[in-house]
Amino acid sequence: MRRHRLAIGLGVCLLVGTVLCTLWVYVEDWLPVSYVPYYLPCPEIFNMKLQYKGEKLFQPVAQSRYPQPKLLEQRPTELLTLTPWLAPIVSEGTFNAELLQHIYQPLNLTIGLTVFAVGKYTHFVQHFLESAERFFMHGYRVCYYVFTDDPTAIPQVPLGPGRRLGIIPIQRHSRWEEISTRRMEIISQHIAKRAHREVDYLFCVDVDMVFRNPWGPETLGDLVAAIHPGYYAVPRQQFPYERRHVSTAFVADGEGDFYYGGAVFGGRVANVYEFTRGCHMAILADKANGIMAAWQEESHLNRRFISHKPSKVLSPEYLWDDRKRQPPSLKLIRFSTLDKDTSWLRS
Amino acid sequence: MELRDFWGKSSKSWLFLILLFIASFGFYSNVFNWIPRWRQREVSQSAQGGSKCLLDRRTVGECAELTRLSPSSCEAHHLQGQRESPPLSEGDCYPDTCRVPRVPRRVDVLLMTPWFAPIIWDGTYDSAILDAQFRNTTIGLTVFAIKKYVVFLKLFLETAEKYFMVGHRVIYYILTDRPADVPQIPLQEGRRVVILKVRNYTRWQDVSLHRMEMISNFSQQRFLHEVDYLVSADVDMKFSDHVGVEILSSLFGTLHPGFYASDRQRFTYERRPLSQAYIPEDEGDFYYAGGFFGGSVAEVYRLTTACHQAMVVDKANGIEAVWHEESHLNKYLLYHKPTKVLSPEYVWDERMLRKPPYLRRLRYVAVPKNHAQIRSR
Repeated sequence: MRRHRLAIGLGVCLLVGTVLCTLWVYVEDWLPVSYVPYYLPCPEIFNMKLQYKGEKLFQPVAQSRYPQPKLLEQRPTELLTLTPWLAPIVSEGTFNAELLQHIYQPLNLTIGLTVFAVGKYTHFVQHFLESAERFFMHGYRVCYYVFTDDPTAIPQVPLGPGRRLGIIPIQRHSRWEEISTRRMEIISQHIAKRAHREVDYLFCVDVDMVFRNPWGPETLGDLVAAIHPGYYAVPRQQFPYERRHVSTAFVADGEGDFYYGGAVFGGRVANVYEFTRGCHMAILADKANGIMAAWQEESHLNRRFISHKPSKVLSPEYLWDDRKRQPPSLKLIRFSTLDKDTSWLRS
Repeated sequence: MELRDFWGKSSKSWLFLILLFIASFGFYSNVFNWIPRWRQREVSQSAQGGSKCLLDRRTVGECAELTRLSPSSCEAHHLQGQRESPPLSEGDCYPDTCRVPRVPRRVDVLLMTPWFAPIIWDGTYDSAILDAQFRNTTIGLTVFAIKKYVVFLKLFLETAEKYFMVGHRVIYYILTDRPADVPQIPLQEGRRVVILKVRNYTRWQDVSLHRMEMISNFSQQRFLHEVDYLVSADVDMKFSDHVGVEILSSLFGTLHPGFYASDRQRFTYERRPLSQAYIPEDEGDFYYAGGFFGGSVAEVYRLTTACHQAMVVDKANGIEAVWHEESHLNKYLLYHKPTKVLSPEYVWDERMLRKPPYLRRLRYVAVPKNHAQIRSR
């Protein structure tokens, strides 16, 4: 008798449990949503219509003497020169600097360079600007945009003709990851407010680096990415993409062309605006889910570059880590890290 | 009293049942947590607040990028095409753009000019990625069929249907002085023929020279509003292999099959300084073929206008360039560098030239013709 009742009881419990759970699933969707994260504004940048400087038409190239390109060349190619979507990969030997100078000089371009110097990173600005004055876009009009929380800490560096410096104050956050991820937002807002009127091309780089060799118009393109020096010879399964499905920066196992470095990217100012805006929105979505990507905005940058492929890719010559031994395939390192003690800096 | 009696008798079993109920409730809640689908529902619910904020704006396109939030709230169509294919990550990407490219490297030929224009050979590009990048593009193909050249149209159009920009929207612009002789070819979806009547000239050299003028005029009148890219091709040829969106860029030229391996002094540029098409002996990158060039409508308009003006000046000076509009084209492309260069795969003549091993495909080849007969009145 007891067992009989027990069996009935068990059956009733299971039945009731199932019914309740199924009901709960449907009722859940009807519940009014009460959670609206406070840091999800609907910024007015969504609705802004930017008036860009007119696109410059290429002028006829002045006559210049340079050797004829050899079509049937049998030179051993260590570095790939062309991506599968026909974007050039820029490295020493793939271009003729004089010819490019003849193409780009007559256009009277202004190139912007954004850099973030927050907290103790202001110490790098001096060295950075001095090396940029020597090597970055020599002969062109340049606008440096230094974003900092302490404008007084930015040193006065003598600038060449046609080059100027803009110091933009920003808010400092307690966590360094937060500072890093806010860069996309700040860059896109800055373009919307100011840079779209002032520059034709914009590059966004890290401040704790120096220019070591000429960085010229070979880097100009519609949307430019640089290959991360740590992963250029590594299969895609080992790229440190964000691998959690929940994140907007998720990259599946078989996907990915290159691992691009977050320290260098750029292009035409309109394209950089769209790019940073897209990354910023993906970061916001992740914030709403309470997740931060494995390498902060670099993961989002990589995710976006998979679906919006860059039109030009810079080889690791343009983003190098001096702690690594320079391989023979990279002929001329142009932009590399400054040795630093990260723990002290981020405190 | 009866109630208490009732309870008293079976209180133990009632207690037991209540405990069992609580245990099974705990069991259910834990089990359903382990099923990932359910877990995502919890996660996505917390994010719905955010997506609501952004969805209210006009920028619904932006929201499509945030499909990670919740498959039900944002644009579902971005994910439709991806349900079938396995591990592609969801997101704002069109399936083929994120495809993993499988492309073997070519080391036997030059892949890029010194001004960063890719040279298009077989095996250097991934068609699927490029097709996805150019998916909403309309391409115009202009071809001249003056006087007896109308006989070439049938083979040209039939092979173009098979090989030229398959899967994209194409408009064939047939510029002819004999509209009635244009054959009716069955066309695939998204492709149509537009016949434009033009005048003819007595001398075949004049016919050839005035092509630039005609393309220039029609570019402004029509092509600008109807197509994104324009390709100008000779009619006495046929397509024999895939010619796709890998050729499209702002301005492209094709390497002439007779001169791709020559030194610049041997190029048959116009060498008389009096002509507008004059190029000195120590200048020149490549010798481009006049029979296959193109680009965006704006750039083709600029090219054809400049060439036509140069030809008008030459005529006023009583000189005609040695290879007619091909000489003027070469002059223009020397000083306005093309953004893509097509390998000789894209213009070839099987009877006159032996095919070298690094030419893996022949995509657009000459059709044998009797010159004397076809060029007469």
